[in-house]
Parts: sequence; structure tokens; C-alpha cells
Amino acid sequence: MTYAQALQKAMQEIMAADGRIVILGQDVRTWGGAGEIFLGLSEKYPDRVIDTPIAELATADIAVGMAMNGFLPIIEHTFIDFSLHAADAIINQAAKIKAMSHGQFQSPVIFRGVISSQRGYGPTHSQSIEEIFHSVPGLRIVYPSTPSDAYFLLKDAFTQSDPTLFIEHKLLHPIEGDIQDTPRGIQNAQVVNQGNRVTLVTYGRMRLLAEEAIKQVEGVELIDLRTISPLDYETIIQSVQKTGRLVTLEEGFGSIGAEIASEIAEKTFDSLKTPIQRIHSKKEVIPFRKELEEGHYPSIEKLVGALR
Amino acid sequence: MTTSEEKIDALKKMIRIRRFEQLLEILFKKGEIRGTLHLAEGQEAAALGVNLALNSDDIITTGHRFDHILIARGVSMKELLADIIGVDGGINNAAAGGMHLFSQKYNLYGTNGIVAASIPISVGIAWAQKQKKSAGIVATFFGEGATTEGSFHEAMNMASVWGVPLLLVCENNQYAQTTALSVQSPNPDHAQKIKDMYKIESAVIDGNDLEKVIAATVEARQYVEKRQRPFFLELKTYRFSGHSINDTKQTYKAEGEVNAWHQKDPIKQYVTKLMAENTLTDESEKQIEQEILIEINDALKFVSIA
Repeated sequence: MTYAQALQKAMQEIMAADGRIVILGQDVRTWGGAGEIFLGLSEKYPDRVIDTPIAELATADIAVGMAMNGFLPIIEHTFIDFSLHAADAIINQAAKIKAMSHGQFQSPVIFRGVISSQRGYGPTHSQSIEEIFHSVPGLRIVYPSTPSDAYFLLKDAFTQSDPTLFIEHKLLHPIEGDIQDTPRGIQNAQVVNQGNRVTLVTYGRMRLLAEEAIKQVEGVELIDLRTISPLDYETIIQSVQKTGRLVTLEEGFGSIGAEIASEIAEKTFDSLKTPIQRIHSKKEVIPFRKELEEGHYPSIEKLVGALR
Repeated sequence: MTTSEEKIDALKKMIRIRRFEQLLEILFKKGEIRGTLHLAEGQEAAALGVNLALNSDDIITTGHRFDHILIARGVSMKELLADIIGVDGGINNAAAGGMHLFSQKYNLYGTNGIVAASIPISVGIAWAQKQKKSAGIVATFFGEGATTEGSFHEAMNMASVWGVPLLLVCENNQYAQTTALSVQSPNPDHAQKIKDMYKIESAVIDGNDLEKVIAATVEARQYVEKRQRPFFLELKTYRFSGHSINDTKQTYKAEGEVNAWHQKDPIKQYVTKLMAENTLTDESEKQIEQEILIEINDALKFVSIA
């Protein structure tokens, strides 16, 4: 099934199993949400699928209130860039309430957002928002890159006591795959391909680029983070201790890779045989013209070059 | 509230609020309190009047000016002092200071350090009450300064279009920090604005008259509970305190204005009223002050301040 269908399946199962789940977003009833993952749910559960007016900040705060009072809301930001309107709700309220209330209250809201880059939508509709939010303590960030990971990570998010930024990419929605649980916990990074020569750490849409690259280069141990925050450094450290080389690959401007690089340098510097390399987009306002937009993101040539 | 005992008790509660806030000021000046304070001397009738008309299973939220509301709610001096000073024994384990206080015990779903954030959060809490068919309503307290935030308007819109059991208690104390009403908005008639723009029922009340506040809140609460719809209750009041404990000079207030509001001091008003009815005597007033003093001493001992 496709990535979008896997999310749809997860939502159908969760809504049927747990009356505390509430869906909020713009046009979620009529259009069924991005990727149509909520399609059909408004007929079955009319009072738990809510079309909101365009009011991202209040909607996010409202979800926090619902969560504090016994519900499990999932909010959609059709273009994840819109979540910036809700920054106070996400950062100052949702992420902090459990700690601030000494555990008396929880606000496990799921903020679901879709990245829509490399589709000609322009700078305010194309951002890798995980970079902006990943320094916020108390906020989980997940970004699955396969249908199976999407399915399990979404279901898992509803069991958490912390809020989750659930990130998808529009270009991942049509990819096909089987639903198959991974041997290690869904919250851990996954070793997708074993290798001895170099560790490649990536996540999200860039996994597609990574999979292409490992067809051209031997000995790459490919790790898909799946969960950006909290980050599974242990899996990366173990891998680098084996390979001695680290390349990070992300669609944003490099801060996630920078965190990983620092952690590896601090924790296992003597394992490294060569300097760590980060592959990421050019730090510029995302351009629009097709050839410029293409040049903005990591390329297969650059990635293969770094891996060789 | 009809019996003499109830009225004396209400007066005592207002005096408790006033003396507790005066205690906080003294402790701050002595360096016992870290961070800041946002006191509300002059707003005692507004806070108490509303709380006397709420049930214990009603849920409350507030902004950053909350000491008067929490004492009115029934939080003890000991508990609140412990959370503010930063020691054990409070309602929130002193986890995050005054502006981030939560309490399951008192159904306090948070004071809030971000202006207006508590309002849409309260819309969500109220939606959940309605969905669960829970008995309690939600009452959210804020100053008129919060009504210029975008999220306030988003929240009003959604509270009304959805219909949620939310009592919006606006303590209009005439200033947002140093900014007077006329500078905040072209139309400072909040209750009317809310009714016109959002079709939310509203009322404006003299927030310094305790019994008027109680009566208005009883009615408003009934409306909210029965109709499962929001109600905007604007209480006109005044803060003698500065915006925060550091706002000592309060140069933005006109001389005549402060004196005029002192004539309408909520505690003075109520003392006069009760004396006129022979419910209160000089002796019983002294008795109240002595009892409050004992509470203060107990609270100081509780947080280990000699």
C-alpha cells in the first residue's frame, strides 16, 4: 500500500479503537486531509472530526486544552509551514505543560504537517520545519519515510504523553511498501542497509536519495533516524565505531546533521578515520525557478562523492 | 449569599487576598522571592465575586495576574507561598514558578505566562467538558489587555461557532502594563464588541461591588451551563498595584484617577455596607484582621521564613 494509505489505515483503526481521538484541521471533513488520510472518518465519527476556520494558533491551543481534559487530538497543517502560526502553542504550551505542572497534566497533541518542497510552491510552502523545532525540549519529532514506519509511528504517537510533531513529505505519499514491524522499537533509528565502510544517516524524503546512492556505492551502512527528537545517537555511535566514517544527509540547512556530528565527535572521536561530512540544502530562501530549485537541494552527485 | 456569617466570611476572604498580596510585596523587597509578581490590589471583589459563584468542579484558568484569583478560589496562603518562594508544600511542587501553576486539587488548569494563551486553551478544555457531558463549566480569567491578541479573537470566533461552556471573565483594570484603554483600541467597550462581532452574550458589571459581581456571575454561570455556550463577563475594576512588582512609580496613572478609584475600593465599600447593615462592627473587623495575621504567621513558618 502507499504511504498515504498506510496513514489512512492507521487513522481508521485508531478512531475505531479509541473514542478520545479527535481530528482538527482545515477541510478535514470535505477533503479528508492531506493525502486523504482522514477520508470517511467524518461520516463514521461526526463529532470527532472537526473542520476549523483558518486559525492555526487558537486551533493548536484548543487542542492543548482538549488534551489536558482527556482527549487525544491530531491537528493537520496541510503545509507544515503554517505551523509557524502555532509556534507559541507548540513550544510554550504543549511542550511544557507536563513539566510545568509537575506531571499533573499532559498535553499529548499530534501536530501533523506535510512538507511540500520541490513542487514549485515557493519559499513559504516548502520548508523543512523540523530544523526550527528540534531544539524544543518536551516536543517529540518524527518523520517517517516508508509506509510501514508511517503506520507504526502514527499509532505510537497516540500512546505518548508528550506532544509530537508528525512530519510527512508530499512526495513520500505515493510510495509503496508493506506494513511490517521492525525488530527494534519504532522509536529507534533503523539500520536499513548494513555496511562496513561508511555510515550514512538520513531521514524523511532524503531517504529516497540515499537509497539511490547506495546502489552506486559499496559498503554504506544506511541509517534512517525515523525519530528526530529524541534522537537515537546510540545506533549511530555503534555504526561509526564499526565504519569509522560518517556522512549526514538532510533536506534542511544542516542543523540536524550538525547536532549529530557534534555528538559523534564528542562521544567517539577516536573511531573517526576521516572528517565528518554533512550534506544539506544551500542556506538560502528556497528559489522558485525549476533549475534553481533543483540546485538548492542535495544532489545524487554530491552524496555519492561524499560516500566514496 | 444571604446570611451575616456568609457576608463576614466574604469580607474576610477579600481581606485575606489584600493582606497576602501586601505580604508578597514585603517578601519581595526583602529578597525572598525570585522572579516577579503581578499583584492586583483593588481587584479583590472581582476575583472573589466570580469564585463564590463557581462550583468546585468548575475548571479555572488565568493569565499572569492570579494571586487574588487563587486565594479567592480557596488555595491556602501556605500553599501559594510555597510555590512562589520555591519550596515544597505548594500545589505545584514549585515546578515552574507562579506564572506556570497547575492544580488538580483546585481544578486549576493553569496560570499562564503568555498573555491570552490561556483563552483558546480554555476553549479546548470547555469543548472536552461538553463532549464528556461533564457537570463543570470552564471559567477563564484575563485582563482587557489580552483582548488585543490575535489568538483571543480566534478563540472567541471558535468558541461561538462551536458553542462551548466557557465563562470569559474579563477584569478590565483600565491598563495593559502602561497602556491605557484609549491607546489599546479604538473601541474600549469590550462587552458590546464581543456581542456584536462574535454573537457571544455579554454583560458589563461594576467589578468593585462584591454582591453585584456574585449576582452577575450566578446568572452568567447558569447561562453557560444551560446553553453550553460562552458568556463574556466584563468586570470594571482598577489595579492599585503596578503592572509588576518593578513598576513602582506608575507614572502613567493620573493623580486624580487613583484617588477616585480609592474611593471605590472594593474592601472599603463592603466594610461600609456591612457596617451600615450592622452585620459588621469595629470589633468584628479587628477580629478578622487578627485571624488573617495568624494565617500569615503560619504561612511564613510553613515556608521557613522566621
